Amino acid sequence: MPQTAAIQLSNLRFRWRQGLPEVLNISELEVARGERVFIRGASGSGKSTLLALLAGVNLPTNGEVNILGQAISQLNGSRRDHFRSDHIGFIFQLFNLIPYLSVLENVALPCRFSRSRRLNATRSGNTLHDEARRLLEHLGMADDDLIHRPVTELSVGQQQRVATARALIGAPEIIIADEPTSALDSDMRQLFIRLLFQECERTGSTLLFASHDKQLESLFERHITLEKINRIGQELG
Amino acid sequence: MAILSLAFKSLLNRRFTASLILLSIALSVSLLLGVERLRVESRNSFANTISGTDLVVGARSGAINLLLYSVFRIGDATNNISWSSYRSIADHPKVAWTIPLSLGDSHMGFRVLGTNRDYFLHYRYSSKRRLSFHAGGPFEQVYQTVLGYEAAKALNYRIGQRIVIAHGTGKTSFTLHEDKPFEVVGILNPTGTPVDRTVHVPLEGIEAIHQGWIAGRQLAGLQISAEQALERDLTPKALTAFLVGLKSKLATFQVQREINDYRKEPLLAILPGVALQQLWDLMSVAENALLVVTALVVTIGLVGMLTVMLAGLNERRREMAILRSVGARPRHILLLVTGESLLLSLVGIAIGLLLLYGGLLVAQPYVESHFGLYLPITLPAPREWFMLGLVGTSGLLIGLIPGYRAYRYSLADGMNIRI
Amino acid sequence: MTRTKRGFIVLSISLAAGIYQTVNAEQDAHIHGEAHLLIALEGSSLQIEFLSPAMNIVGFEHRPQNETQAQSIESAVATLNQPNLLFKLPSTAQCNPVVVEVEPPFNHEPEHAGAEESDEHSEFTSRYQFQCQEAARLERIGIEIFRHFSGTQAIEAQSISSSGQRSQELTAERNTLDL
Repeated sequence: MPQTAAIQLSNLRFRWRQGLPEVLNISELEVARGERVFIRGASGSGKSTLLALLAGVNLPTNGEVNILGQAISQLNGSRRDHFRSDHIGFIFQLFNLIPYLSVLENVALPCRFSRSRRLNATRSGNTLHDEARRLLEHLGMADDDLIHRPVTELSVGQQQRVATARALIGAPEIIIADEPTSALDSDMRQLFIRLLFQECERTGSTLLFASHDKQLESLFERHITLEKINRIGQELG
Repeated sequence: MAILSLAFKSLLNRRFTASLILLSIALSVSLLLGVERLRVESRNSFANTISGTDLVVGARSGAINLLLYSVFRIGDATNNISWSSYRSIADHPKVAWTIPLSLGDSHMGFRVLGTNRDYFLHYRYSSKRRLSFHAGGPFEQVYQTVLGYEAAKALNYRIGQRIVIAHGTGKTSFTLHEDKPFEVVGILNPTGTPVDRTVHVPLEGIEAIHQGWIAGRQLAGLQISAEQALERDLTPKALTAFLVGLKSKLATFQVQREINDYRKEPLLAILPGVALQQLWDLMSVAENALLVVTALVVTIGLVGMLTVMLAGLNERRREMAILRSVGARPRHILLLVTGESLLLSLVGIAIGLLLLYGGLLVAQPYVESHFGLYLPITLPAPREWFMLGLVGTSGLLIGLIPGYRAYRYSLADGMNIRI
Repeated sequence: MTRTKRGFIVLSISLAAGIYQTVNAEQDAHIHGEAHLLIALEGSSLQIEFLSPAMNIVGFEHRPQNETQAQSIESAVATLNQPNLLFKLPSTAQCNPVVVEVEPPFNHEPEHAGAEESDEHSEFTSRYQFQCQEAARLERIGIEIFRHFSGTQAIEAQSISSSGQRSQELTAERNTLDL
């Protein structure tokens, strides 16, 4: 089976609503499987909008988004939700966790909604919580005391690592991280990204990492500057 | 289902608000069921009071009125009926037995009923159960009395004790028939009917204590001792009412008509079962009003839940976005929020049932001793299950409102975290 | 304070009863459109008495003044004489009519000439007795009176059976009497 690209966009145009100006106009973008891509863009450059399109939460006004060879706009809403939960893990900037669930339950959460990720996660014969624990261990959260703490009492760095474990569980093909490090201090950032890389490599996941932090750029093999590929002026967004 | 366990955990996380909602739903549910229980049990209690009596006869007034004062000792007769009328009906060839009833006096707040020994022989309650004695036996002489179980218990009376009857039915009657005390010769077993709160004396006893009385007053200077009274003719001159048992029930309507057409005196004969049903028809208006009010209380409880759920929704948009990002579909969000309301309603119902049974346990002896109403502790009746089902369904439907809003939010917000 | 609480209940019930009385003053009130059924079942005997204002039966309440009116009365009596038309008894109860008595109104000469007949309400009265071999199967009776006498809107039925006394309001739609 020929490997399709992880992400492939062509002639993508997007506006929020009819009558509003376009926010995105990208003629071409392709990300290969296993690639680690840094997407740089100032806030308001349409970065979050692009990520929402890649995730299939929003549909392009024109053009097509292909994820893992699947044209997203050909799926109906429910299928898109399915597709997303099966193939994409997310890490947000802040407050990624469900406050009323435990650390392990937070990590295992995607497996409640995606059968394929549940199967992936338990393939080795592990229970979901074993797998969650294993991922947390890899991310430096082996401490039992930490794991049993209410998530609201974890530090920001710890929360982001829990969120990362959650994005990785069940080995989705694509990880989308939207400013995941902006709340961390710079030492933590380096460590966090290294752990993230390590895990993506292990699972073979493609990583899209959106940030406006130039210092991190050098750690990535490929950089995309949104202002360069987006034909719409950066004052819009 | 996985989503419901999320809903449960989410509620647990907001346990303070959740328990307030639970409390209001539980209280309203227990109120609803409590009112229903009272309604059903008071009906049963009324229906069980008289059995096997074909006709009740009294002075002409209203059917319900006659039933209430003669059988339930509620209210007073407006008129008496004469002894001769009673005798001529009692001697009617189709009449098997009669129980004369003479009311109007009291003892320590308990009604005194003048009757004869046929009362102990023919009176039936519940499903044709007859009276039985806890101690002693029926009265045989003029100044003897048989107490209902509860009256004896409340006043702590024993066989052989002497009691004084008060004139009139007020609790604090100052005119006592002190000169003619009655000896307690029998105490009846409990029946769960007004019999339990009745002091029974012979008709002749009623007549004897009123010797020398006219129109409720003792004539000045006319003292007739207990012994002197015995020598007089103690045949009663009047009765309050009497119960009739017929040889054949087929004759009921005919005898009823004959009594109602009785020429010497305006009499009223009623079928107690029919009069009781008329009473229900009458009471059902009040009962339904009460039921509507309690249903409104339940509605208020559910609306309280709705308010809290809606108010909390905006703060939860982040939570919804996170759930969406890990693969929850909008319908999962709908299910989560609606499920929370459903869980609250169901747990509220369960706690309401617990409160009801706890309340019944506590109130049972009190209600029985103060209102003569026995509240059995039984599983919910079909009608009560139906009511509970209705509350649960309403909870579900009401939960759809915040559920649908959350659904709309999650469609609009997607994974964008707005807050 | 048993007394005061009971007193309150007494007061409210008697008040209600008082109101009811004024409404329900006359038991056997002659109200057009309404009729009475008295039903008693004991052993194998079933007795039914049907009382109805003539208005419900023939549409007028005076002596027949012409041939048509006389015929209406005759045909009403004929119908009333056929209890199987009026009462639907379960066939399993195996009931047979043994007594049928129909008393039409206006049978007697007025006591003195010029009596104000029109003020006098006149009633049809009929009595039936059935013998039922399986009286235990007699749990309900279908009342077909509404079908034959369309002037009848409601029947107040009182019944006596081994299950007790009861009263039921019957209409053309709700025409089954439970015993």
